Amino acid sequence: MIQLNNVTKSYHTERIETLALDAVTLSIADGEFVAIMGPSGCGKTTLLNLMGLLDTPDAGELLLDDQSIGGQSDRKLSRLRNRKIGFVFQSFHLVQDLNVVDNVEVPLLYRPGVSGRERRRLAREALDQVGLSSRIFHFPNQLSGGQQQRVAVARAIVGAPQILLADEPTGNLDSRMGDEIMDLLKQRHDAGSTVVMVTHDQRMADCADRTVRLFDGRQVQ
Amino acid sequence: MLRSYLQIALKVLRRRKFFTAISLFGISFTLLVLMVVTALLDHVFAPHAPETRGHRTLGVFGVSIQSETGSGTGFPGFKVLDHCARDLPGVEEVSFFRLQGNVTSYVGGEKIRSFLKATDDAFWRILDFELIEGRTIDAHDFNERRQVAVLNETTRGKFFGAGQALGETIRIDGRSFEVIGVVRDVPIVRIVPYSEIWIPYTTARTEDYRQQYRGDFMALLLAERRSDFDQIRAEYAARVSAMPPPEGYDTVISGADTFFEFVSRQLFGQRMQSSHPGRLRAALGLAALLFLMLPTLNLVNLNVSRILERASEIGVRRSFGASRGHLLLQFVLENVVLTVLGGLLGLGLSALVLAAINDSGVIPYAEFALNLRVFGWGMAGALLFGVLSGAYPAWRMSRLDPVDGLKGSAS
Repeated sequence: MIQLNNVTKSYHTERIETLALDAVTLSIADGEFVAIMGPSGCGKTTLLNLMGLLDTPDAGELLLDDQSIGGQSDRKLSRLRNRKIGFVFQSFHLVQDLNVVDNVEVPLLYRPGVSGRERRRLAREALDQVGLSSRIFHFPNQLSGGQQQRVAVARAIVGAPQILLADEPTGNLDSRMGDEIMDLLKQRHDAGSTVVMVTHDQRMADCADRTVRLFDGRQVQ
Repeated sequence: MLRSYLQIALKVLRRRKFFTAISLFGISFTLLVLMVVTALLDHVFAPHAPETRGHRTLGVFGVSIQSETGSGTGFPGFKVLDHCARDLPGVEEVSFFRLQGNVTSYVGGEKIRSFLKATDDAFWRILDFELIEGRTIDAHDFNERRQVAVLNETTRGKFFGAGQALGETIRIDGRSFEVIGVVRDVPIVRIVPYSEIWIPYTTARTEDYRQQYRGDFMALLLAERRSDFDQIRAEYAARVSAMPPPEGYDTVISGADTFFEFVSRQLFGQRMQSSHPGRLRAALGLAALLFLMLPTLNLVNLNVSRILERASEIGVRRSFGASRGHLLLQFVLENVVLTVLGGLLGLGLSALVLAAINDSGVIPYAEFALNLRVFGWGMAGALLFGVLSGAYPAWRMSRLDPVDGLKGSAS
């Protein structure tokens, strides 16, 4: 499903160059649940951004469904993200100006041929799955952290993507709410989705099929 | 998708009340000023009743007589018009008229100041006054030098109140005139037809005016077709240049113009030698553009600073499949919605302000209204405003790297 071959990524500022990933080779199979762990600044989020096609490697190759991603246009990459990938972020990243159901509809806005009525139906279904169907017209600032993250999960799954990328999805939540979010991710995994999750929490990582550990941009396990 | 973007735009504007209020104020106030100015210009230059034949009417509104040592410029004298403006080819009807300024009358011991214009009979055939009672000045009145007067509605009220006016006599600067007709008020900004009292110019006390190169006359030339304008202009100009100048002067300069062309001749013509309507249009357009630029730059600034606030949203949208084109369209549309709303608000405010000007009497007999042409100008202005103030911030927003957006940095 996702294949990284010798992927290198570095960031430049005016004075220094930071090597975020150094020749990482990694393969994630269809339907797998993979946890990525490592200390802060080791390149976990960079790796996730590359897998999510939000960033491009400096060197090496990234393949999605055996197709190389290198050199694809902005429009093609946007379409791939829209069809195949759903994101869950640590700080939720809900659009504060939109209510819950409008937030969940966002990915479907960029999918041609989905009518407004269909968008609303799919968004309600997704919210139903995360147990938030009673709060669809609330705004993000009217919800607790756990509820906001559940909205974010609903948004990630509304377009039925094959891949869910979660960047420390429980990092801003207490353990009970964190467990609720993990249950939702596990449900998606059980339903056949590929889940890649960055986490600091070993307890959460234990829910995954396997754990990839990074240190200073290198894969150590 | 457009519908969704529109809905989102409205939701965002509703949520960001402060930004929306500031923006709407800026847009609507700017458009209000533009609309009021446009309505004024429209009223001065565009053909409105009674100038219903304005599209095929030229005028002679000025003359300049020049010598090596100096020059004099002003309204044409009768001699120039009589010599050059009669029987021009392509002209169906020609009228001369005098702007005689304010005159005084007394009614029941009360002083009444009225604006007086002295005309011929053709004046009333070229212009399409709305007659309320009686009749207008005809050839018989003119040729027989009959002391008759046509009043506008308001002046009729001043002299006679609700009583009978037709057949009654009014005294103007010590002379008596019989009232033969009453017409609807014409706003003062319609320079050619405007007056409060009209009399035949043949009733003047003396005929000295017949020898004047410069005076208080103007002429109207009703062309058979608009396509005859060039021919009329050329023939008039040829006759003027062939006319012997008055003693002590070398040249007589005058042109047959539309009123807009005449204003451009005064502003840009070297000693009134030529009209420059293109230059005047460009100057007005430039002034409007500069006036629009200030709030536009302000709005651009406001919008760009909004990038910082909305960076995370851009990152999210990019993550979930929005291309740069999607975001560009969305943000431009958001701005266009904002400016169109501001435009509509500005239109409503303009209507109120114009009504207030009409009621205030600051501009006598003002009848400013938002007609379709002014509405079109206003909306065109709003759209220009929307695109100008939306395109650059939208372009910058759409170029934002999604990873930077998610981090919340939009520098």
